[in-house]
Amino acid sequence: MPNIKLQSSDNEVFAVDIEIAKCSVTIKTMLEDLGVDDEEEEVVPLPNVNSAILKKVIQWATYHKDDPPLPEDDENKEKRTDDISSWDADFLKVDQGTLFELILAANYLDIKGLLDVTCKTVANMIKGKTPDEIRKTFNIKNDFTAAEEDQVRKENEWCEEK
Amino acid sequence: MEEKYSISLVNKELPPQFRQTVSAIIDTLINPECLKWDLFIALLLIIMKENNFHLLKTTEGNAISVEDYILNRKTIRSTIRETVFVLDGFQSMPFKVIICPLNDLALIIATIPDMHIETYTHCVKINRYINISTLGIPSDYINLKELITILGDRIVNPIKGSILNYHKYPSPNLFGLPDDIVHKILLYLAVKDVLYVGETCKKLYRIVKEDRLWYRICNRDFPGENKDEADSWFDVYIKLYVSERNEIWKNRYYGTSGYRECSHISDYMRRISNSRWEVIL
Repeated sequence: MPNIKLQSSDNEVFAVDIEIAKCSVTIKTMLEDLGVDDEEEEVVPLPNVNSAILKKVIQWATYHKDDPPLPEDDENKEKRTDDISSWDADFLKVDQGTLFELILAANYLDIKGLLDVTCKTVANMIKGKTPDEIRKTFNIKNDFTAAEEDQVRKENEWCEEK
Repeated sequence: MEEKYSISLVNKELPPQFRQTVSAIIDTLINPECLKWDLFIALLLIIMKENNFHLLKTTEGNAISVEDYILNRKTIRSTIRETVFVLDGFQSMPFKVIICPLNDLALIIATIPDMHIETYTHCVKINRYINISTLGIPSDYINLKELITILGDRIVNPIKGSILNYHKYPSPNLFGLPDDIVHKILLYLAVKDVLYVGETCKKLYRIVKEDRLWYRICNRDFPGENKDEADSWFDVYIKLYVSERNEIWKNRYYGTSGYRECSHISDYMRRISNSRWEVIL
């Protein structure tokens, strides 16, 4: 199988099977636009992805290389978050920094499957938590004044149990 | 009195650069009592370094390597260690990480002077992470993965996120993601969870209130409804939500409910707030 070379932001070069690299729509389009010959050993620079994250992304793409293509998103359908495969769940047992870096990388590289599963993982971390628990989980600083906080809570009362 | 202490360091999870730094610590060991703090601080410094933070000499503001910092630590007499870092590319915004040893606790305080509310603190029970042998000498890291995760989640990443956000760059944190991705995440959640996210801070409040999000949530939760004359999709959603809830209550009151019995009112409300309830039926 022909390889392609991907270069991370910290200048590490990874040789990757071209078919695996193409699960990134960004890379696929880049190759098509450039009309890169399979024979050539092209180096694709990825200035927004560091080597630690690129390594993870390649690991994910390699495991999922034979997956059938994902159906188009149906906006009008309930979205499940409990259908994460055990391999993916294990793969995503990482610190939050890495998880969010993977989201940014999946977004930049346009890898839908990886973006879906990472976003679901974050959604699961939010589910059923109070605002304060959400702040604690994600280290969010509360920059509302007490009055503003009351105001926001009042705005959301329509959704509260009575 | 020169005694050589040995550290086993069989732990495979150690950051790659670590062995070298640890040997530097052992070689310049002053007092075995300090070793556990040295080991702890060295780990923190290396995690910072791996996240593109540069250590500065406190006074002069020049960069200093972790090894040099460790080798020069004899000069630091006080028990409280104060370190100064800059994030690569953001040299104008140095910040302090202060480590206070309190018996067996390490209190870590990270603060960015330019941002008054951005202070991150965490308290770590040090004996949980550094193994002390029967001779009282620290010998190895334990629960290392947990420690690296805690330091990353509580100190390193929030600081990185704050600095990147301040400069309006995307950052690896919930509030640092581009709006579209936050919306994608929110669309996996029930409306109540969505609103709660908006209650956490101003930035997320703004993202949650964006009407294009509520257009999508409306279509998700009420796909068949006529929503033509919409000024605000948020208001449309509230209207549909409240009327649907009233409908359910009415049906239940007259006993025509087709829904499964709920043992408590809160079960009921939970189902409604769990977005589309037909999925559950």
